[in-house]
Amino acid sequence: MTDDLISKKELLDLTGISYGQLYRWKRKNLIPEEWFIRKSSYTGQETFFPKQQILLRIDKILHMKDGLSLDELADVFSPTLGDVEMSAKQLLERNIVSQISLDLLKEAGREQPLYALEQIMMLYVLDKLLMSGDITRQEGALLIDVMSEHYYRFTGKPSELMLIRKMGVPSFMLVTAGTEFYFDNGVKVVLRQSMGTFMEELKLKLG
Amino acid sequence: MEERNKRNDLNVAGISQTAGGNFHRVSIDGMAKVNGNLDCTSMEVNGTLKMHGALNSESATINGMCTLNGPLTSSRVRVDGLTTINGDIHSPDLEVNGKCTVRGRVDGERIDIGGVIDVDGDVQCESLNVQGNIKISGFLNAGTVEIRLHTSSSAKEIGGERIDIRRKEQQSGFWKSIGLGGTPSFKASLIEGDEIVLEDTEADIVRGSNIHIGRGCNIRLVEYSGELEVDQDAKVGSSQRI
Repeated sequence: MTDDLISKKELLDLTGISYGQLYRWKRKNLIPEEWFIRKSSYTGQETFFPKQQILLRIDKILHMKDGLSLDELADVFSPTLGDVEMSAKQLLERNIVSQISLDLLKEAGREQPLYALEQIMMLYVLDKLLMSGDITRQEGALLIDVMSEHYYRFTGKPSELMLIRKMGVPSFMLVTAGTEFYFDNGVKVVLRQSMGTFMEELKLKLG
Repeated sequence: MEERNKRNDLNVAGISQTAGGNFHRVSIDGMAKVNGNLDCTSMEVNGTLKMHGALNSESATINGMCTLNGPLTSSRVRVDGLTTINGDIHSPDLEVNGKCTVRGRVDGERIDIGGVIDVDGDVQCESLNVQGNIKISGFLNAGTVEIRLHTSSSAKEIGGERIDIRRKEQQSGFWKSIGLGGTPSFKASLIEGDEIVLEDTEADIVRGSNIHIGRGCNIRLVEYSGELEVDQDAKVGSSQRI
């Protein structure tokens, strides 16, 4: 699944960026070290990248770099959490989450005076999925549970959020990015999204 | 952590052994052994220092001999003596005029080498300026690389924006007189950059936009997107426009 690789040469060809830019972005940690995959080819050693991820990342860098410095961009892409604390009121005012998500959180008994980035992230994901109609309120409650209980385990690591249903019964999962799954026939994967994407969006909103 | 300038100084003038700790200014004039981590404002070694632990200092100047078993983090590092670091170096400003051996990686902004540096891992910086001898066993990633060849130098791979490796016009007295390090040459398996100027370089593949292959080069394959100039005294196996 993630075996879809692109060689460095093809990548530069496709995106029109230069070697210099690619290496500068690597130095600034905009492109993670582990995406540079060394493989031997008929011309000797060559470098490959995970195709989907690198194309998406380069597209983002090219489109955001006018407004932000490279260092600020590096913060956006880093999977680590920064020091942010916000009250429910601030979150509403800044249009990061809506009242519905906050109400759901209250129902789940996880209301707090101040929210750290980890919790804002959870609210943001919840809000986004609710608003897009991907999940129901009931499923939202499940999401709150799985995120508050387990999201910290993925601190600094890429992870994905999955929603599966079997005979209408929903279940959420947090997994390491790129893991393979096999289910029995009755299971339908309703949603599978990388948490990194959510985090990038959220950091741009906060920043 | 308390303010650094309110801490005590550590001065070693004879022979001494200490456990490390937090200091303001550290000065080693005799022989010292430090068994632990050091955190200080400035570190100056004029004698011999052997350290087991991490060194974290705002500035570090080494004139004597120093062996560091641990990482070195400092905003300014200057090595005029003989230094071995069994760990990584993180410093925005690194200057080596003596000999420095790094058994780890080097992360910096500006690196100036007037002496000899030997790095086991990768080197990453904005500008690398070499007027001496350099050996990098890993990958060199730098914005600008400027190397003036005095002896035989090498890197496994180079990637960057401007890469300029040339022979020093007149072999200067010092390197010539000691007669060490071999003839001026550079070896790398792969060189990739936007602007590349090479002389006396032996490489497997050179890739970039505008490439100048000067005298004394031996390159197996050149791939370019802009312009390619090849000196008549250079050997290029094959070249391809991409």
